[in-house]
Amino acid sequence: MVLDDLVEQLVAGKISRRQLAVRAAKTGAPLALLAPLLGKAPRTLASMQPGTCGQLIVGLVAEPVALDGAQVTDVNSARVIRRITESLIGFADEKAELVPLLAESWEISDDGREYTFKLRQGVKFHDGTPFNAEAVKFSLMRQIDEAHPANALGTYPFASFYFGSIESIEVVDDHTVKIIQKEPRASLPAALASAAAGIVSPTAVEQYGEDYPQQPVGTGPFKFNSWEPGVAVNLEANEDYWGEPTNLEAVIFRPFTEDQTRLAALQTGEVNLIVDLPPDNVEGLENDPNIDVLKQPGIHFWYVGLNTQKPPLDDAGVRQAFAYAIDKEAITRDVLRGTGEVAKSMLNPGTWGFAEDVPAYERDVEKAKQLLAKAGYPDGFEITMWVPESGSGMQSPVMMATVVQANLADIGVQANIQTFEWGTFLNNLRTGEQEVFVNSWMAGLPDPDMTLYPFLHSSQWAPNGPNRFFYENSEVDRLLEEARMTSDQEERAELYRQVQKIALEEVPLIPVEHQVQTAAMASNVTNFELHPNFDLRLKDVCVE
Amino acid sequence: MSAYILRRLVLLVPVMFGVSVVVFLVMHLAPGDPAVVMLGPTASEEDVQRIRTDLGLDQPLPVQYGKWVWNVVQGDFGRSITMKRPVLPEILTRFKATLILTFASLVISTIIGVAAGVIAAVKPYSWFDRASMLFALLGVSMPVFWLGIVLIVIFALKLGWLPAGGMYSAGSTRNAGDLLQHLVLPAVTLAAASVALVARLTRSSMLEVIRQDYIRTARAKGLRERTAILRHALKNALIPIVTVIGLQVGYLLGGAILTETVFSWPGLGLLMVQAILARDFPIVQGGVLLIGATFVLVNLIVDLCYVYLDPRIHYS
Repeated sequence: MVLDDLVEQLVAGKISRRQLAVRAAKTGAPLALLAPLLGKAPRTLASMQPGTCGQLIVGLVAEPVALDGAQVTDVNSARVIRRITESLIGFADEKAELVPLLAESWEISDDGREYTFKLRQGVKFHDGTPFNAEAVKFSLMRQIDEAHPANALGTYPFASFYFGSIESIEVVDDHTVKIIQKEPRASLPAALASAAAGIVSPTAVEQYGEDYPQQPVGTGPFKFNSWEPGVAVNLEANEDYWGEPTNLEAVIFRPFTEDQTRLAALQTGEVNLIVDLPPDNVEGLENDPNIDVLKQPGIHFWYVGLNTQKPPLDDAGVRQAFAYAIDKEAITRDVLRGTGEVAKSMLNPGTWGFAEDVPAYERDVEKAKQLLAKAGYPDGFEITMWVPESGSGMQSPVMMATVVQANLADIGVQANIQTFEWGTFLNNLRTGEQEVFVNSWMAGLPDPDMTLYPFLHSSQWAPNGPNRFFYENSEVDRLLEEARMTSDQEERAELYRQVQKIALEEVPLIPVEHQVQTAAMASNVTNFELHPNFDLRLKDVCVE
Repeated sequence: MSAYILRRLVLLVPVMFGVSVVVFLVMHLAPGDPAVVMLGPTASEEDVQRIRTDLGLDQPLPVQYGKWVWNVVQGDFGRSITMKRPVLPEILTRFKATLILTFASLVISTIIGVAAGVIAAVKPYSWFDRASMLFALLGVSMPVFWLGIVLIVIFALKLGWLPAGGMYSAGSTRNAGDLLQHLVLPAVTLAAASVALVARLTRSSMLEVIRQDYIRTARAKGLRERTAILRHALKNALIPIVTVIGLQVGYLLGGAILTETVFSWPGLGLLMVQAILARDFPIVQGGVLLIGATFVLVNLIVDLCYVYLDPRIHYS
């Protein structure tokens, strides 16, 4: 019986629990039979020798641009960098929860300004440099302090967005470091879990200078081996890893820009794992016995933004009418083919701070029409909608916007789509000339402050920040500021729930969907899961 | 002759100067700059200004242009804004990949195109003529990205003969055999349209020459048909063909952008597209200069070929 075979393979460590479940489901075996097994499969991997899991070849959407987390903003680069460098704080497996990584623990001062981190001891960078408090200070201060000797070696895009609150960093002793902030900002731990906060070997940065981003040196489970531009980035196992080392010998990242080529490369065995499947192919792949498909909602949302200062959008009733008109279901079902989840709020369901009891704005054309009529536009109006052709965090923006356009036409609003190339689009949003626009936000970090503050606080009006709706509400401002000063997560969560309630009542933006990340792997790849933060965690993966 | 070549090479200088001004202005006057694109949706004004200052973009355009040209003249093309790498070695590596691809396509399109055109002209309105001209029509009409994907599906996915993309296999030591395997599909894809063009042009040019009196004379004096066609007819028909093949180099260098994208070929085209989207000024400017210079040089080579093909042509 097929099921017996599968169980045997599981016990022998040849397949993972998840694969057992997937394949059993494909054969039609009742899952209930498997339930006891799924819960406590033997951890054969831990007893395996390093290097017994072969090499993993990953097909990425594009080549990483550079391998210094502090200097890049794209997800492809971060997916490679995070294998090599680690931050003080990391993510729990399979969920967006912060856990200690290079820091063993941390304490927050009563005023919320000072964070004291106890560092893991006995950790060494790949080049043999000891990991210590000086290295932490070096890695962060090179970005923030313009007088730092390493500051001139690069351009640091996150210096103020993530680390703007940091006043100074103090080396207390070799294994204790204190970060002092100008004002309390409770989202600091999340910022310290970003790829930009990766701790780099100061010796390597000093040695390679401006060329460091091509020869990264960190403390991670994989170390950098070589980079053949346009062809591959090669990493190898770090046998001296401070934690449980990887069983993989090597990981190779190869770029395949064209979706269908990436897919073909997986099917021909040129790569073992690919990410970002073309939505139209997901279903076909799920029926392919040689390939396992993975899905995981990411910390991301795609939205329709409304300029709250421009009539008729300055009327909250009109904005609510738009929210009722948009058919989020149709967008996720027909355009994204299940690679998106209907969004209720800016935060993902299940993440902390998410407000359950906000208006969901399910499609209701009649109600939308009534709201428009009440606002004085019974016959609708004409308006411009800006749409980027592609861009960071974008899935199929033009097709999605076309659905929005059709939805708005149903309530008498004629939205004229204007498409822009990404760079031009971002530039134009800074001008404040926009009426309706679509955009996405890939926060990746599980702290509501990283999303709600920049989007909704009145100090963040474009071009100062990402509040491109020119939304202003003094109560929202106050709640957001208070949440930054509060250390207790439950209290903060309550404040953020209030913010979402107010903001989603006044609708400066309409969250439409959260991207569901997709990946496909050859069936001999085991122990791989997608993570909500869009990262590819490869340490425990095995290729058989 | 050498004076002529020298004069043409000197003319390269003003041409390159013009190219540099145009590409610099086009890139810098387009909306959006590297700071805005790099920061993406998180951009704050403070960050944008800080990064602009870091990159020297806050200076007046003529100053930026002057600095760039001054450095380029000294051989320093700067450092990529996004990739942080020195520009010159980067674009040269990529350009090598593009040249390999372009050259392979050129060889395919010239050999197949000229051969098909000659045979079609020798036996006009035969089944071969009709079939090859039909294929030529298909070749010109098929978009590169569509043809590329169809070839991948057939030869990589269904038959498993050739790899789907890339220039080398992962983790392999680089060797010619591996490169050749990866080269076949993109080279054929890129060559498709130009094979067609060369074939049709060769056919019509040959048809014209074959009807000339001197071909009849050649046949009448007892030359073998093969000699009459290849030595007397083809050589005289070659001038327009060589012109078009020369122009094809430009087309192939440009067309390579799409082919490179479809096959993940690590060439200059793919790099340029990404650099343009990221507003990576130094890469785009350096890349355009390189392509511009290549185009001018290829034109010079084509002009020199005329002298060999037609002794009546002299350059002095």
